[in-house]
Amino acid sequence: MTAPTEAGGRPRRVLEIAIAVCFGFVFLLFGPSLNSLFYAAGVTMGGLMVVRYVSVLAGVMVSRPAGPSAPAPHEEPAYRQYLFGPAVRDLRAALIAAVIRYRRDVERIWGGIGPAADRGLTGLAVAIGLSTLLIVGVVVGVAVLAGVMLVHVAVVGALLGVGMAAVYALRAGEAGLAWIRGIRVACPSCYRRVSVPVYDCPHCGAAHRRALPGRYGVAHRVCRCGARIPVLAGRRRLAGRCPYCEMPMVRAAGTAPEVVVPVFGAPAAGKTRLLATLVLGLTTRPGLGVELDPDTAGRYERIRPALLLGEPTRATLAELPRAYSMYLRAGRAPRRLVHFFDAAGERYGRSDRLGELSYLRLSRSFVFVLDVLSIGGVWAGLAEADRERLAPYRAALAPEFVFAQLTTNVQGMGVPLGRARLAVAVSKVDLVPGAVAGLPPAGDQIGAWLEGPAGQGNLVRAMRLHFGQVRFFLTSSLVGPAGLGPGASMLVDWVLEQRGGGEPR
Amino acid sequence: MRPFDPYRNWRQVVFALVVAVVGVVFLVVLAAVWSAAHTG
Repeated sequence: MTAPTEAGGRPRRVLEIAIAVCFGFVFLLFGPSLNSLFYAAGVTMGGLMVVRYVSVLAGVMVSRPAGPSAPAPHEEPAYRQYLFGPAVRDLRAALIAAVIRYRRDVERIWGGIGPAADRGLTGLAVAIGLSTLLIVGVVVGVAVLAGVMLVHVAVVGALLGVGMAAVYALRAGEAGLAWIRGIRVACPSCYRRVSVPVYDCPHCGAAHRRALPGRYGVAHRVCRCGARIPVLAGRRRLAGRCPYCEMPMVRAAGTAPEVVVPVFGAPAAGKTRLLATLVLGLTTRPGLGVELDPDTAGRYERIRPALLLGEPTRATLAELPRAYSMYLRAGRAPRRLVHFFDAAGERYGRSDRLGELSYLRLSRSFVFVLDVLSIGGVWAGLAEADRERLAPYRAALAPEFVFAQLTTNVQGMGVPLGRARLAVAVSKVDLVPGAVAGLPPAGDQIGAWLEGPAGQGNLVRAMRLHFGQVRFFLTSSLVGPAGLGPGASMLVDWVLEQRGGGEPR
Repeated sequence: MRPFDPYRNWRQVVFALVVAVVGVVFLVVLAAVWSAAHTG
């Protein structure tokens, strides 16, 4: 009769021979005594269990590992990090396989001893002796198997513990660093505060909505397509989208403190033009590193010709406008991302729509554009012909009304205006040069003029009452060959005084 | 071609660690048994 064989054709007697050799070797090693028989049985079965577990583990983890399960539809489109799921699966598979193999081994050995009992008294005595040894061996084997399993559990548990500690430490470190550097990320389209942008896989386009250290990876994650996506600082090199409105974020958002400067005023007060003027002033300023966001650069290039030729710019659409965003680096100061929000003036006519401008919550610097033509005293002082000529350029709403709307809403949002600063840009002064004759391009004299001859005392007092700091500027709607006018240039200086983190210097 | 397995490296690390720890513990226990057998 031939011995049964395993799949590979090896005789199955290998197990019995190995056990017999090991038993004999250990017995001889421990010396000829009754105790040595029990030691040999225990060591042999214990050793068998170690070898069995290692071979089972090799099968589960090295030679025939289970393939990765595809990410579930409700989960991120990435494979779980090994320690945060598959490791426990492997552990379970190895434990079950080891127990099954152990049971089979014991049954086989028992099957070899049983027939000896049928061969007379001598056989029965041998069978009883071997059974006793087997019982001792099985008990030791179970203990060894439990110990080996415990080692596996401990190794996986320790690595999991280290992994979790790393995840929380990295997350806390990133949040702490952002807090110290005053980095808060705002979406330039919907103006909400974004903690983590959505990153699309550069390979397959799958949207990774929480690309942070976590169960999908500590330093990087593997996308369902197999591509590696960084989840630490390297993720900011990828193009991000806003998780709320899905619009693109500014490139490399989160790498620099962000400064949000809303420019508000009545419709047709000249906000768009003032913004374009500010961008022009910043990009042409010597010694200042300016990096326009591609979207901002595109829009600025469309407005620039009208700005240089002194033609009217298109009225901003009433839907939420995308911010003008740019990175600024001035001297040794840290790089900042400045968002100028060009809020359509139509919003200020209705409180319910103003509430949509949630970015106001992030702002500590505000620019109020005050159309000089909308000042009753100035308008009344113009000749009839001038009034007819300038009527199309005049802002529709009274500045006091617009300002009251803003302060009511912003205070309702919980913004501490007492810690914020306000720049009042009196616009279109080139259209009525006589009205502002003798005034400097910036300074409190402009405030005094507004309070006195211009008849805006209530407005100026309200500004000083609400805001911690108020500065006044005269800005022109024209850009001369020499560049910006002095008032606009000083307004650019005022913007540059703002450091990151939302707090004025 | 080898099938895609994002866990290959980690599995090898865990396997090596388990084998190493089990090996060391087994040898230590064996030495303890040997010592006990020869002092008793």
